Amino acid sequence: MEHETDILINDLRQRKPAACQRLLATYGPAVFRMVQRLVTCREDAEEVYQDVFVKALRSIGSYDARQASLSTWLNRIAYHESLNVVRSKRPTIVSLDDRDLAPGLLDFPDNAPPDEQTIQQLEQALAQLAPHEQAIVSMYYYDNMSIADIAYVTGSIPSTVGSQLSRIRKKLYRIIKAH
Amino acid sequence: MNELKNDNNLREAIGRREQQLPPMPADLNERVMKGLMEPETAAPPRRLWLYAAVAVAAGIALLIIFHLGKEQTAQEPVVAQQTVGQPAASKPTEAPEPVAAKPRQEEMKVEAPPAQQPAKKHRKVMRKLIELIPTAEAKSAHTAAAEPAPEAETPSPDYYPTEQDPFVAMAAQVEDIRSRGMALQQEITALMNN
Repeated sequence: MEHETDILINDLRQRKPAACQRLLATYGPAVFRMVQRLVTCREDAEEVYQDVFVKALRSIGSYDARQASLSTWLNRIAYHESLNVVRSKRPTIVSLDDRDLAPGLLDFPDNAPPDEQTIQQLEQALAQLAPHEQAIVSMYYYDNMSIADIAYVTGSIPSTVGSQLSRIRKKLYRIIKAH
Repeated sequence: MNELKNDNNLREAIGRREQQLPPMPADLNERVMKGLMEPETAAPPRRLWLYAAVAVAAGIALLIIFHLGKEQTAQEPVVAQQTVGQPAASKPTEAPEPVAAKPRQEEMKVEAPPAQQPAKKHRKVMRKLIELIPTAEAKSAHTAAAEPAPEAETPSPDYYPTEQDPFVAMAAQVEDIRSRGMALQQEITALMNN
């Protein structure tokens, strides 16, 4: 697999059309998913998706496999391109700071067994998160990415990502309790 | 960190949410491929045009800078020649050539920092001119409409302008206009009285 990726990268550096097609087929769905997490408008998401690969092919020469895997590197480009679009469109972000809620609402179930009602409430609460927060929790819980990889994608440091995840989780349970 | 990992409710909620995302359009990759192939052929002429434009702009900028620099170096000795306070009689052979004023420039450098000198000297010349104009006016008023007194044209002892001094030429013109005006005014007054 690693050897195949090396060949793919080499071919991409030589601007081989077949390599481009292979890149899109292999990594396209994951990249599109990442874009969709942040960009809700379908047309915008497709445009960003195209921009991601244009940018990736332009800067494939500077890709360093020691820093991150090819998929993480593509996700990083996708994350930043999507955030640029989101910021330029200025969506309404629901602000829910710690001070907005009473301290008694801070407790939430740890290691609780799956509970249908809580899951549904969490699904609704997830919609109230800012796009970049949704992307971070999705990378952690759905893509099973390591905190170091998430930090690489977001351009942050692992400790910051750890505290962000913890804060977002608390925020979600606060939203549930508030309702 | 464990509570984060073991939050199965949240994991399940996110999983369901991700599955609700619409699938990628089947033809999207084809469209992207088309888009990726197009810029490769279109890029080189755009770049060439850009480089050419930048080169032309840089050339023009250099020419302007070079020309301005040349003008400045040609003007500096003239200013120095006009403002250095030395008697004209002590240097009778000195011609008003701008390049020949090199030693004077050196003198100026000793007096004040080079950046302040031209402005300072200009101010001094202007002050002298302002002093010069009212004196001539007063003298011409006293000597009724005749020719202006020769003393009025004599500059103050510490200023010896050369023939090419533009400020002196301008001052002479102003003085001439003023004296003619005064004479005309006196003639009109005389006619009115008669």
